Amino acid sequence: MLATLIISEIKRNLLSQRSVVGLIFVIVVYAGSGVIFTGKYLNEKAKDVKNAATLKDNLDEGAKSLDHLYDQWFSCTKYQEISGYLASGNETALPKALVVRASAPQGAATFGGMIISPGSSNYMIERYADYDLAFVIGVVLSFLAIVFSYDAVSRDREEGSLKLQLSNSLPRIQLLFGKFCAILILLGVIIAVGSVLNLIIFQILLGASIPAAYPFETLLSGVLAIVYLAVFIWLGLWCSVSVQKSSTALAIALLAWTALVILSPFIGGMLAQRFTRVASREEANQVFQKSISAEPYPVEMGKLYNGKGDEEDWKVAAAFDERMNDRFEQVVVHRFNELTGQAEQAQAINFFSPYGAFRQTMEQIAGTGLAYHRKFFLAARRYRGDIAAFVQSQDRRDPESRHHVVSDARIRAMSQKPVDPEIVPRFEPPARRVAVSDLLTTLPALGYLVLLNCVVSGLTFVRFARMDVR
Amino acid sequence: MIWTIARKEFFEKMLDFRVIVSFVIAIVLTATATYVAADSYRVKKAEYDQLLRNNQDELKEAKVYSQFKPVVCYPPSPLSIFSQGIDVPTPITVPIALDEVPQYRPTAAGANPIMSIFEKLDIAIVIRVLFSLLVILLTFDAFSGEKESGTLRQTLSNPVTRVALFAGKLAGTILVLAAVVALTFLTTLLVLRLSSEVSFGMSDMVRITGVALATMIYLAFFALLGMLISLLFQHSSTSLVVLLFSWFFLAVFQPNLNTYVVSEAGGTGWIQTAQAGMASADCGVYDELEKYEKDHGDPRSDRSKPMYFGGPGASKSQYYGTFSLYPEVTDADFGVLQYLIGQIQIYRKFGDCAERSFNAYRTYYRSHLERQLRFKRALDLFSPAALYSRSAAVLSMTDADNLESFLDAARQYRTAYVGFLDRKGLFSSNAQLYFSRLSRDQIDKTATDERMARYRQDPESVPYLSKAPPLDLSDAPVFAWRQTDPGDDVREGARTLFPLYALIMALCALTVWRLRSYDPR
Repeated sequence: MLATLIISEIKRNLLSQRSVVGLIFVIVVYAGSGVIFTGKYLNEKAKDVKNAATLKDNLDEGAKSLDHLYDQWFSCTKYQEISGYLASGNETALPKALVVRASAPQGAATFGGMIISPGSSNYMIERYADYDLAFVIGVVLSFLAIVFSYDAVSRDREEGSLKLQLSNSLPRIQLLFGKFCAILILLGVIIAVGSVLNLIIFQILLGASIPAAYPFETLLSGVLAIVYLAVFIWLGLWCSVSVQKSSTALAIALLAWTALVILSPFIGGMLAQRFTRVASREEANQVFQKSISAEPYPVEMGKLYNGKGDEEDWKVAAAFDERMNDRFEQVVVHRFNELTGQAEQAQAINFFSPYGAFRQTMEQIAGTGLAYHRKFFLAARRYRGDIAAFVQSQDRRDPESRHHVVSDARIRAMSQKPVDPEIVPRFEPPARRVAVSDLLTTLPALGYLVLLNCVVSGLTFVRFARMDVR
Repeated sequence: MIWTIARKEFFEKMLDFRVIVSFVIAIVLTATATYVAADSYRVKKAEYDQLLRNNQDELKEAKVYSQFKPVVCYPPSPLSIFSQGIDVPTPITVPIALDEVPQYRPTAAGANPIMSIFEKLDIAIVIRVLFSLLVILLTFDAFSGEKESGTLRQTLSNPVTRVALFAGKLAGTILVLAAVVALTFLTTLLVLRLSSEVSFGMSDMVRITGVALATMIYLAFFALLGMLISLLFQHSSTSLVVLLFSWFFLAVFQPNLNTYVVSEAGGTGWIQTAQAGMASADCGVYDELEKYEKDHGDPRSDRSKPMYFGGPGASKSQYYGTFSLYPEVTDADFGVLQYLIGQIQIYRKFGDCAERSFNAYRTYYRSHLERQLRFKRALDLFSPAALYSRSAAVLSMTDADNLESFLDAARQYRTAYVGFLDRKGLFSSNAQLYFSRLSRDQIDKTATDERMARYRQDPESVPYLSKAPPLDLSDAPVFAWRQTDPGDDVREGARTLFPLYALIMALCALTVWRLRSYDPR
């Protein structure tokens, strides 16, 4: 009986004007977002190639002498991947590259290169929301879910067919569930068709560069999308059974949708700024200044400048150097944690809106967004340490070197020999690919969305069970 | 007759359940948006005040010319509650210095750059998305609904022309909108009054009224669109579906799409060209400084004295390690001072250099941003929502032109500042050693109150001060930036909406034309 009901509902939905308009719209949006992403992908890839070339130049330049290598700036870059289509994670607003240097952690002005470099966006133009799969599903399809479901019950009642249906020995719960399943299947088919369409677009426009894991990620995001959209279908159905007229149901459902999907993402950022305070740039700079001037410059280093130092002075200089570097590192990492912490808090607040939970989880699947940026930042800091360790180890192998590897180039006495660029450690950005541990991170959102489904569907069932169908 | 229809339309809509529900939700959302946006403004304003206070304190403590380093700040607009405008986190700090011509630097804006991944809520967004939806829900069945219930035939059996019927319905709807908009703006003002220390002057009220009028025009467009579509389809449910998709496209999709297209079109090749162009403007002062150091033999090479970290006079940032180590300067260290004086004469060349590199920035980099902006504005001519957003931003003083006028004023101020330093002879005579690259510590040590007092009694007893006049800022230039006159902005805001007027006219004409041949049965 349920199967018959679902099939008849699907047929009815498919034949209605709204589904024709809606399907055309969604297909256009899907294809459009795919084509737009391809353009963006190619742009970003061009940047990646340029960055890789710069990095190679840096390496070749630095490799001319170990001493040079120690002072060389390296730009650590994120790479654009196809999975960015699932959720771009606002990466245009986050730095694409961080600059590190082995001899000293970076200065206060940029706090480890965290600040967006000019050229990444045009400040004269307002920001835009990214057209990625999370937008298509999160905004467009959830809108469609409301449009399909707002009159599923009230229209039948208005036409009188609800009475007839219930006069068969059909439990109300089954009727409602049948309607729900029909819309869900319809949306599922749209997602499947759209995903395949985009795979074809990527295949044609980008050729063989689609990684093997991408279809799997798409599948995973599809599952998440279904659970997410179910919330909106139940929301529409709930309005449909709660209100007398379909038009009123639509008004309420759409306003709820606007609040949940369009307006709620704005709230987190603002509340986080309200409740957590981060030090202003000025204050952060002061902390930095204080930290580096906490200890006077040792007199022993003065002796070294004048070429009069002995081994004891070198020991003092090396210890001072290490303390200074540690302090720098602490300031940079502390500032990063402070700034990122505020943004993470904002995300935690946004998680309560279904769209926020959905988008953040899509970002996790795609390996983009703030979580990835944190990994990337730490990897760049680690890379600095790797280069420093590499320089130390190479220096120890040079019999002519005096082995005094300190930050200050004017007293440094170390190997000047060239190194083979091939053996210098390369920066590898952390993998974006889905690992099993990343899959676990999707569980909270899934659980939360399932919970929302249970609550709204429960409300709908109770309401429908008590509904007067006349 | 028109008035009767309008009145009927007005009361019928006002009493409609869905309208009441929508109103309540809209007002609640507006109040929330206002509260949240006002709070975000308060935080920015506090940061701005703090920056100003810090700078003033620093200037007050200045003893020598090298400490006279003014900083100007681009203030957050109190009207940003209505429209956030361009994506620039305020306040923006612009240091006024010899070696840089003021320009927008993302590094100098806002407290937390990472927060820019979140979008900011303002009243204009609530209106753009939510109120337009409301209007569509109000008008989708303007004619088809009456036809379905049979009242259209009855109305037309009275001696009333169809044009009058349309005019009446339109007037009624606009009255409803006026009531909603008035109520919304009053709510906003009330929430602001109750929740924060934001207060508006007369000119702000003119601007807010301007935003309210722009809102009315924007909403009138959707009202007319609703009426026209309700005439085009047999069933009101069909017109509703068509309208909803149109709304989604116009209010949610299109404005974003325009920005997206503008930002991503044209590839990334231009950045490379721009960087190459800007790099070519390097004028080699650092090489000259290095040569000077080599030629004259750095008297600071005796490192047995205590050393201080100190950056160049133009910058407060300090570096550890390879840069800027200075010995303590005492009255006896005249060799060091002579050396520094020679350096400062070369240092003056940073001024011309800065202008050269600013020109390069303008030619190679900014021109591209401006082209993007023009492209964006051209695309926006076809997007009612984008036109409305821009008009609201102009009126709220948060658009790109406003920031640009501030930066222009900062550039003029820098010119005056450099002129002032030149007038004081700070670069031309060897007397002006206090505008040299001394660190703050050194300055504090050398220009102590005790020494200043000694100088006043017997100038010759303090060699530096006898050769350099003490700081006199009485004729120093003062930064002045007057925001655009509200009248000008209202005109500009109205001009921005021109394409929307044309669209509204076209919709009116189409609706009347369609209504004439409309079958009311």
